[in-house]
Amino acid sequence: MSTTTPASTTTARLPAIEVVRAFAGALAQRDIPGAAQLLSPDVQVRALLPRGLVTWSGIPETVDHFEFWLGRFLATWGTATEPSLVEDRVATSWHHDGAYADGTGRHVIEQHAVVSVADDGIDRIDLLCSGFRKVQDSDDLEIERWDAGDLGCSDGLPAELRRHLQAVQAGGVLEVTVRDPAAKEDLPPLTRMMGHAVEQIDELPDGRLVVRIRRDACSIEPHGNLGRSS
Amino acid sequence: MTQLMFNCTHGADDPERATLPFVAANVAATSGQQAVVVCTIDGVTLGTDEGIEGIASPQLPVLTDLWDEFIGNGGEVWLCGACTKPRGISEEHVRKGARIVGAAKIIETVVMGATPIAFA
Repeated sequence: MSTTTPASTTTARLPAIEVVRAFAGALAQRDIPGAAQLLSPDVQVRALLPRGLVTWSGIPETVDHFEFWLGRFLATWGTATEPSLVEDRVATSWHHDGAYADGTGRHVIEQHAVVSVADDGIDRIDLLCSGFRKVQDSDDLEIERWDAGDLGCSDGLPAELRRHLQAVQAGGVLEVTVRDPAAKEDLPPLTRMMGHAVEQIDELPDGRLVVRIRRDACSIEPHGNLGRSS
Repeated sequence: MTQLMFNCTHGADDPERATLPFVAANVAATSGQQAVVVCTIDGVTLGTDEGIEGIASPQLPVLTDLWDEFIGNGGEVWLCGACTKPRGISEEHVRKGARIVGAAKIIETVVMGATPIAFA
């Protein structure tokens, strides 16, 4: 049984500008399955990338391309512009700024698109891509270091981790040293649930772990809502 | 494959309650599910050779044998760090197949789709 809502159901009777707003919004959130639901099975894409013009068709290949581009980030702050009508087409763009998964630091990418929407979904995308641009000063971002000592989950580790991460600028790095055995297991899931990325884990000769965390641009508020970084 | 988490809160203080979660978890592991026994409170003592030795409840398997079978079937045992610490249990005391984790590890596992089961 299919778990994907066909685009014709998702997009039926929606104005084209709403379909494109949802599409760009999904890509800004790196929700590729959500974006794919808005595509026509016959979608044609022409993309001008730094390496040249690339064309393809169909949902699977479109999904593959977006997963390849946006999956490169460990953690990212994505935004989409308000779409605008160009007669019978819609123009929009999306932007990502975040930590690269291969550890080479902060990168940004921006894609602009002019889109056509048919009854069964987005059937034409003309896309212009900036390529992945490394943020030149990202390696100069200071690394904050925190020795958590023997703190464990019942000693206040989550609250202290959040406090230290919120003191790091967006895209910056916090290196945490932990000794408590439960803390060694908890730090990566805590980091992920708070919306940040674990870049590296190293074990010291004395058994302590050093966990390198890349701070995303969003932060977890105490009541659990995502908010913009201050 | 579904991940199932079985909570165990007793040790030698109550052999039946100590053993039953492992019985159920071993059924899960044998049937191809990912099974984890999460030991909290006195259950964390089962994660040490000294703590599990001699625990046997009438009509139930000897716990050390059941533990070995469960681990052999791919099961895992997690010991709550907040409970091991006051009991003086550290990494060097922990039996094969067990490890000390904190609440965040357990919470993330549930958030990612694991089903917690209280069997005792």
